[in-house]
Amino acid sequence: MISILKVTSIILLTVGLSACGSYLKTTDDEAETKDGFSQQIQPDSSSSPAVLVLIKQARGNAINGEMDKAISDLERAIRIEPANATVWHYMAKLFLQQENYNQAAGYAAKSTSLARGYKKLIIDNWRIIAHARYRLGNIKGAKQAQDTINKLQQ
Amino acid sequence: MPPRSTRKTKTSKQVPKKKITKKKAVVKKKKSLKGSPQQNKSTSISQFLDKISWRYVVVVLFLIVCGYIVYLDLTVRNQFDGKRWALPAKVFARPLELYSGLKLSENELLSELEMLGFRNVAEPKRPGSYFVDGSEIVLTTRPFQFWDEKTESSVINIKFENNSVSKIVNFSDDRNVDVMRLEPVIIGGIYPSLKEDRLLVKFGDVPDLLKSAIMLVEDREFYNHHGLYYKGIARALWANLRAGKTVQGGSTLTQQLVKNFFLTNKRSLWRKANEAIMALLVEWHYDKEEIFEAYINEIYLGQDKARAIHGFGLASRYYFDRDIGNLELHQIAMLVALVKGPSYYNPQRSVKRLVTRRNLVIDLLVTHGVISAAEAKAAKHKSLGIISSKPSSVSSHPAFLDLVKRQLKTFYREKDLSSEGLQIFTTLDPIIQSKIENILELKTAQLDKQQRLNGSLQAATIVTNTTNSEVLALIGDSRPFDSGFNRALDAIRPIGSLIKPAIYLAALDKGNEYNPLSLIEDKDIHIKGPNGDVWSPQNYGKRQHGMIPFYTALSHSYNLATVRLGLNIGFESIQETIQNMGVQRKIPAYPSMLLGSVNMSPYEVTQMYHSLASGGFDMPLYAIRAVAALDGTSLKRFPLKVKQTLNTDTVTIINSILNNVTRNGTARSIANQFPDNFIAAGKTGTTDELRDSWFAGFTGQHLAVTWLGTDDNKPTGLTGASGALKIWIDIMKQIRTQPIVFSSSADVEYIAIDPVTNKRIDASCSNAIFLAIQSDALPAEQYNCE
Repeated sequence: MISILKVTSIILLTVGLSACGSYLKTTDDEAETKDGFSQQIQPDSSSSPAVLVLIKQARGNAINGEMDKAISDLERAIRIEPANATVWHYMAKLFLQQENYNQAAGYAAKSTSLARGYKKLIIDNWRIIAHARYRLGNIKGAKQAQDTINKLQQ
Repeated sequence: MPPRSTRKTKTSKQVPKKKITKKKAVVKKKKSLKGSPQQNKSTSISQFLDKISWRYVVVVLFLIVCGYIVYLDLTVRNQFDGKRWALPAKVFARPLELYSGLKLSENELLSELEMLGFRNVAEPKRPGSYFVDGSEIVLTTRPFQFWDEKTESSVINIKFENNSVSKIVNFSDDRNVDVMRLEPVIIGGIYPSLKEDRLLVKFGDVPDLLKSAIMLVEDREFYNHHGLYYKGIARALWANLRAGKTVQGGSTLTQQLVKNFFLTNKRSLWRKANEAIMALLVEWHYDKEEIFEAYINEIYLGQDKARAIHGFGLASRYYFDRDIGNLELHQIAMLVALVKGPSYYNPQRSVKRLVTRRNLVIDLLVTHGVISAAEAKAAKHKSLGIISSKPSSVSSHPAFLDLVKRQLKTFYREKDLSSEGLQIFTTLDPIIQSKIENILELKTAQLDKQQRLNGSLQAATIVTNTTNSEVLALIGDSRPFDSGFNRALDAIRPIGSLIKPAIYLAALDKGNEYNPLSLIEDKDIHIKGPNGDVWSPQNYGKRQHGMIPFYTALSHSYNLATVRLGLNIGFESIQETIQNMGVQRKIPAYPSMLLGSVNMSPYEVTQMYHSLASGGFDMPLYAIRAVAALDGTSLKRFPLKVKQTLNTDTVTIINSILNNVTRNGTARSIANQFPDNFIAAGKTGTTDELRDSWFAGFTGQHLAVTWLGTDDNKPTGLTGASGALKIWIDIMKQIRTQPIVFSSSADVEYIAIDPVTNKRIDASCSNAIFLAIQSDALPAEQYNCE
C-alpha cells in the first residue's frame, strides 16, 4: 500500500492541479472621506440619549472612513426618532460625501419636510440639494435651489 | 525482482481490475458507434494482444490504477482545501433595539426572548438566559456579530414602566445603557436540496474532554494509525465472520469522515476499498488536527424537521443552546453517544435508550482514567437536559422569506445563497409578524364562516414602517404557515376605490383648480366606449349626491363624483401621479380605471400608499438591511432609498382627507374603536360584486394593507369596510404605533371646519372636522359652533 502511495505521489507531482472555488463578489466601495456631516448643524437638543449616542458613533465611523457603518448608525437613529429632521440631514451629508447625489438630495428633501420651520437646517438642506443637482448635471434645478436659498436668507 | 513486485500490485488491486474491464467495454462500444465492423475489431484486438507481452498489460493496468488513485486524491483534496461544506444562508429578523423610552411591554420582550431561545432561570449567568423580577428583566446576552459591529455578551437589567422601557443598566460596569441591540431572531435558512446545517468550530475550540470522549468511543488509535487501523479491521472482520453478518465496524475516524464526505451509506466491498484508499490519502495530505476538525464538523447528529443537524458545534447549540466550549460532562457524553445513530438514539424516540448509551460513554471515560468515578456518578445522575424551545432555522414565515429570496436573487446566485453561509439581515419584526399571523388566521376563518365561503376566503397583508419603507411583516395566506401561493406578492387583483386618492391628488396638483372644499358634482354619467357600449357607473347604494365638497367625495368614496373629476383632469395626469407614487405597472387609460379596474398585488398597493404615508416620498419597499459573509464582514448594504416624487403639501391635504375617511367616511368604524389620539388615514376598496375587499391605511409609523378574496375570484359578500378593514383594525390594535401629526406649513394650513357650512370654526367645537387646506384657499371664519 505504501509503495502505491509513493508512485501516486510522483504522478501527482507531474499533474499540477488546483481546486478553484467560486467566490462572492462584494460591491462595497468605500470612498475616503472625513467627517463633515455634523459641523454646521448641531444635533437636535431634544434628541433622546439613544439617538445622540448613535450620532456620535456615526461621526466616529465617518472620520475613520467607515461610511457604511456611519450610515447604518444613522439608520438606527432614524428608526428610533423618525421625525428627527437633523438625523435625515446628516444622512444627506454622508451621501454627499459618498458622491451619491440622488440619495443626498432625497434625504435633504425629507429632512426639510420634517424641519418645522428650522430655517438654518432648511437652508443647509437646500444647499445640499443645489450641490447634488449641480453634480447630477441639473443646472436649472440647481439654480432653482439656489434661488430658494436666497429667498430664505432674506 | 521486478516480476514479483508487479504480481504483488496486481493482486492487491483486484477490485480496480473490474473497473478496467468495464472501461474496455466502453471503448469497444465507442468504436462500434464510429462504425467499424465488430468482427474486424475483435480480430484486431486479439492480434494486438498477441503482439504485446503480458508485462505491458500489467504496466498499463498499473497506470490505470494509479490514475484512479490520482482521481481519488483530487477528490479528497478538493473537498478539503476548497470549501468543505455548503453552508446555507441564515436569515435573521431585525434585531430588537433597546433604549429608554422604547414602547415595549415586558411581555413583548419576553416573547422576543422566547423566540431567541433564552431560558428563564433563577440565576441568568450564562449567555441566553434571563430572570424576571417584578417590572425588571435581567438577562445575559449572547455575543453576536452584526454586519457593522460585534457585540459581546453582557448582563443587562431592563426596567419597565407603563409598558415602556424606562431604564437599561449594564451590570458589568453598572452604567446606563443608552442604546443596545439584542441579537436577531433566526427566521429561516436558504437551503440547498440537502438540508444540511452546521455551525463550524475550530479544533482549538473543542474541549479536551469532548476530544477524548470521541476518540475513546470511536477510534482509540486515532493518533497512531495512518487512516486505517488494521488490527481493528481484523477484529471486526473476525467478529462479523463469526456472526455471519456485520456486527462490528473497524472504521477509524478518518474512514468515517471519508465515508460521510464522499461515499454513500451502501455497504459494499467497492465502497470499502475506496474508503480505505481515500482514508490513506487524507492522512497523507493532512495532519491529525485538520482531520479531527473536519470530522467534528461533518458528523450527523440529529434532525430538526427538514433540517439535518451536522457537527458538534450546531449540535451543542441545538440540544443545549451552548457553545461547544461550555458543554458539561453529561452533555458531552450525550453528544458522543449520538454519533452511533442519531436517529436510533433520538431522544424524542426514547430518552431511556439515549441515557443508557450516554452512561456507557461516561463509564468508558472512567475506565480510561479521563474522569474520576465521582464526576461520572454526578454526571450519570443528571437528566439529558435538552432544551425544550429550540432556536429553529426552519422558517415559520414562508411568505416573508419568499420576499427576501426574491430580493436576494437580484444580487446572488441560488447556489451561493445555499452554500456560502451568508448572513441575511432582514427587516422582519417578529413580534408584529407573529401577532398578525394569529389575527389573520382567526379573523379570516371567522369572516369565511360568516359569509359561508367553505374555507375559500383567502387573505394577504403587509405591514411596513412608514419612516423607512422597511417591510415589517408579510403574510400571503389565510393559513400563514402554508408556503404555497404568496398572495401578498402574486395575487394581482383589481384595486377598486384604492385608486381614488391618486385621482384626487392629481387634481390638487393640477394648477390651483381644486382645494378640499371645491364643489364637485356627484351625478349620473354615461360614457360611450369605442365599441359603442355605454358605461354607466353607479354609487355604492345607488344614490346621487349633487354638488358636494371635494373632500366629501373622497372620504365617502363617491363613484360618480370621482369619475367626473377624473375625466376632467385627464388620464395622463392620473397615470403620472400613480407612477410618482411608486407604481411601476402601466396604468390603462380608460374610464373604468377611475373606479379601480386596475390590477395590482397587495405589495404594489403597499408601495403606492407608502408614498402618501411617507409624506410624498418614493421609497422602494425593502426587506433586507444587509448581507454579511460567514465571518461577519459586510458584503452588501441595502440603504433606504429616498426620492421626493410628490408635492409634500398636496400629499398632506390628501392625507388629511384620508384621515376623515377614518373619522366620518367609509372607515369610520376606526374612530369608534380607537381613542381620539389614534390618528390614522386610510381608504377602503371594494370591487364588482364584492369580489375583493381591501383596506390600505397608515398611522404616523405603520402602513398596513389588507386584502381578502377567493383564489377563484368568487364574490365574498364583503366590502372593504366589512372585511379587510376589520382585520386592519385588529392589526393596529396589536401594534404599538404613533399617530400621524398634521401640521401647517408655509403653503398649507391645518384647520377646523364645520362640515355643514364648510366654514372655518374653532378647533374646540364638537362638530369640527379637520382638514389641511392650501393657504390661499382658506374658507371664511364662522364664530359659533353650530
